[in-house]
Amino acid sequence: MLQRSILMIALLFVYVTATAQDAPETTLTSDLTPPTLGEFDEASASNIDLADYPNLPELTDMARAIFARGQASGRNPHMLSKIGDCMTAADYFLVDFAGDSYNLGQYADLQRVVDFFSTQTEDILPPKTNAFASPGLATDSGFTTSSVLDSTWADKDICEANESPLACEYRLSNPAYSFIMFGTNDVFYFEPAMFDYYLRLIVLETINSDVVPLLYTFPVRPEFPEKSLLFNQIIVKIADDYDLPLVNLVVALEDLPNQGVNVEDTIHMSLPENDAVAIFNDDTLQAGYTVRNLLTLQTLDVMLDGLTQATP
Amino acid sequence: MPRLKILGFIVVFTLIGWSAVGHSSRAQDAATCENLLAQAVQMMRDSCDGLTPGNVCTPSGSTVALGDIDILRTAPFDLNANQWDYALIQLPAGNEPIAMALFGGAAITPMAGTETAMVEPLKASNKSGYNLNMRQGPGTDFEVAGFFGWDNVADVDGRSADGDWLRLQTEAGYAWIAADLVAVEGDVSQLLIVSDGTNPLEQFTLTTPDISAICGAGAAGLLVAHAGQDEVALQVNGANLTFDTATLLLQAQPNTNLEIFVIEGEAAVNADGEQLTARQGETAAVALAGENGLEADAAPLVKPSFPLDTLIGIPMGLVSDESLACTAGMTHEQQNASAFEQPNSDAAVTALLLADAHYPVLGRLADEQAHTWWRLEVGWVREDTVQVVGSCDAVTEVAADTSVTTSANMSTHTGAGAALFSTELVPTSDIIWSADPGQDILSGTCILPPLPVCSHPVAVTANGATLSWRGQEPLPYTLNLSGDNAYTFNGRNNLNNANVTMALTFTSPTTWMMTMTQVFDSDPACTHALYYNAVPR
Repeated sequence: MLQRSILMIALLFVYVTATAQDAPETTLTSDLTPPTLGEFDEASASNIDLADYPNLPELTDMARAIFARGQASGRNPHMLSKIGDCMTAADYFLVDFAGDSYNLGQYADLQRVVDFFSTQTEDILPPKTNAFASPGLATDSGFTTSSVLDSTWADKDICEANESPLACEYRLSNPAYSFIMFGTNDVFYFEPAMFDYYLRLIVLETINSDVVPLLYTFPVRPEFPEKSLLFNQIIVKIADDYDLPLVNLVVALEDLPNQGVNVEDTIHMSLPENDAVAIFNDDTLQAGYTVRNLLTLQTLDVMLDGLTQATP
Repeated sequence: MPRLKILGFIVVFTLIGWSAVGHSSRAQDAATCENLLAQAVQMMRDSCDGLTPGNVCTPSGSTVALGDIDILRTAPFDLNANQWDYALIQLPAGNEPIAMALFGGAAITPMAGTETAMVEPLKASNKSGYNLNMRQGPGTDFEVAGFFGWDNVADVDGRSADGDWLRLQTEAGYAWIAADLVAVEGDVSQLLIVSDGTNPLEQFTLTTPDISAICGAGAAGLLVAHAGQDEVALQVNGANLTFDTATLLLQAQPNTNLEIFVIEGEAAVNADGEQLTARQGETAAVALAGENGLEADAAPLVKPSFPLDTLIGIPMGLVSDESLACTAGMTHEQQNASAFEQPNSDAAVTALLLADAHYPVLGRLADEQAHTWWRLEVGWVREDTVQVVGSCDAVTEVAADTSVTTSANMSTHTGAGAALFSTELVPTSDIIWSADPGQDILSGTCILPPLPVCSHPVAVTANGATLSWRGQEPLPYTLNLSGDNAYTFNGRNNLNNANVTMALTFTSPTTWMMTMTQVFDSDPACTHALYYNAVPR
C-alpha cells in the first residue's frame, strides 16, 4: 500500500513537473505602471547607439508571455494589426502579400509566413480578409502616437462610442501581433517627452490587450535628423524597458540611397521601380518600402518559429 | 541693326537732403521710397509718352524695338545711391497692347524661337475633306505656309491663346492651322499656348532679386496691365498666363516660386498640365527649379491673399492711370491687429488681421480723439494699428452704424462675430474632415527646407463666433469668425516654437480651404505656407 502510494505520488510529481514545463509562461515580468507625462528623462535614451541593435528582433520572454496570454484569451494567431501613420496605412505595406503580386526571390523560405498570415478565418473583421490585406482601424495618413489613443479619430461607423482607434482595432481584428511604427509625424508635432509618453501608452494598452507589440524604429526625417535620432532612441528604450521585440528599420535603411526615404516627399519611404514593394531582388531592395516588407516577414518568421509553432 | 545684349538703365534722381538717406529712420526711408517712385512715374510720363506697341522705353526717353532685345535688365533699388530703375514695355496684343513695367533689379530674357513644348504632341488629322492652308502664324493675316492635304495627319504641339489656331509640326518647321478644321486626338486645352514669333516678349524668363523690405516687397518685379475684352497670353518661366482685363505683379527668384499677385482682375495660370485661376487679391504660385532655378516645375497653387508689403512700392502709375486702391494690413513689426464691430476699441473684436493678408479699405471715420478708423470687410481698425497703402485720401467717410454688412442668409450661430457674418456654410454638427495640406511653400530667406505634412484627419467644431480646429496634435486651435463663413487664428503653435496664422473658409457645407503659415523661431525670415483643401472623411 505504501509502495503504491509512493508510486502514485511519484507519478503525480512527474505529471505536475511535465505540465509545468509544457505550459507557456504567462507571467509578465516588466513593470507595467502607466507612464506620467513630464517624467521623461532624455539622458536615459540619448546614450543609446542604434547600431548596437540588430535589424531583426529576437524573441523575448515578454513576447512569449504576452503571446501565451493572448492564446489563452482567444487572440487569433493568424492575425496582426498595423498601427502607425501613412507609411503603415499605405497599400505598399504588406498588402501585396494578400494576393499573388509578390515574389519572394531568394527569400522563398518566407512562403510559410505568407501562407500562415494569409489564412482567412470567419471571425475576421469583414474588410480585413486576412492579416495582410487591410490597413485596419488604427492607422491613417497623418496619424501620430496620440491619434490612435483618441476616440475622435475612430471610425464612427464601426467602433463603439468613446472607443479609441487602437482599442477598436484590437477588439475587431483580434490580432496576436501588433506592428507599431510612429515618429515621422511626431517629430514635427511633439516634444520627446510627449512622444515617449504616448508611445508607452500604446505599448501598455497593447500588452494589456494580450497582443504582442512589435516596435519599429522609423526612417529619418531629413529635416529633423537630430530629433529623428532621439525619437528612435526613445523607441529602442521603450522596447528595452518592456522587453519587447524591435525591428530596427532605420539601421536597415542606413545604406540605402537617401536612407530609404523619398527625397521629394520625405514623409514617405522610397519606392522601387513600378512600385514593386513585394518583389524581392537586389534592385527593389534598394527602396525603403521593400526593405520594411522584407523585415516584417522575417520578423513574423521569428515569431512563427518561437511562438506559433510551439502552441498549435 | 546690332542686337542689344544688355539694356541697363540707371535712373539717378537728385533730391535735396538725400545724402542722409542711408542713415535715416525707417519712416524716412519709407517716405523716400514713396517720393522716388512718384518721381519715376512722373519721369516716365514725361519721357515715354507716346510709346508705341512693340517697343521698350528707357527713363531717358529712348526707345528700343522688342525684337532687338536679348536681355532686359534693370538696376536694383538703391536708397543710398538714390537709384531706381525701370523699363516700360508696350507689347502688341489684340486691340489693346499689354503695358509692362520692369523695375527694381528685375530682368527678363525673351524666349522667342526657343520654346519647347511642355506636353506630348497630339495627332491632328484633316477632317474638312479639302486641302487646307497652313499659315505662318495663328490667323488668316499671316502668309500661307503650305497645304495640309485632305488625308494628312500631323503632330500639334501648341495652340493660340484663344484656341482658334493650332501649331503643327511639319517637315518644313512649324505652321498654323485653324482648329475647327482638324480632328485632334486628345485634350487640346492641355496644349501649350505658344507664341507666333512676332512678339518676342510673349515668352520670357523673369528673374527678380531678393526683395528689400525697406521700399516694400513690391519694389522689384514685372508689373503687367491689360484692359480689354480680348484674352491675351504670356508664357513666363514656362508657365502660361491668360487674362483679359487685369493688373498683375510678377516676381521670380531662382529655386523658389514664380509668384503672380493679382492686383486687379483675374488670371488663369497653367503649368505642369494643370490650370488654376487667381482672382483679385489672390496669388498664384508656381514652383521654380531646373538648371537655372527659373523653370516652372510644378502645378500652380493659388493662395487666397498676399501681404500688404507686396503692394508697397508697386509703381502702378507706370502701367495705369488708375491709382492703387486704399488697402490696409499689418506691418513687419506687428504681432497682431484686431478689427472691431464698431470704430471703438471697446467694441467686440470681429477678427484678427493676418500677417500674410491685405484688406481693401471700404470707408473711414474719425473718432472723438481724432483717430481715423478704417472700415474693412472684417470690421473697423484704428489707423495706428495698421499700415495703409494706395489712394487712401480718396476714401469716403461712412457712418459707424454701417460698419459691417450683415448677411441676409445668416444661420443660427451666435456670438460677437456671428452677429456680423454669415455662417450659412458652416456645419452645425461636428465633422471629421480629410484635409490635404498640399506642398509646403516657402517664402523669404529660409534655413529650413520645405517641411512636408501628410494629409490628415481634422476635427472641426463650430461654436458661435469661434471654431475649434484639431489636427493630429493633442490640442486644438481656436479660430475666430472673421468673415462670411471664414475663421482666422493668429498666435503661437502648440509646440511654442513658431508663430502661426490660419485662415479657414467654408466654400460649401462639405468643403473648406485653409491657409496656414508658420514662421519658426529658429528660421525667422522664412514663412512656410500650407494650402489646405478638405472634404468630410
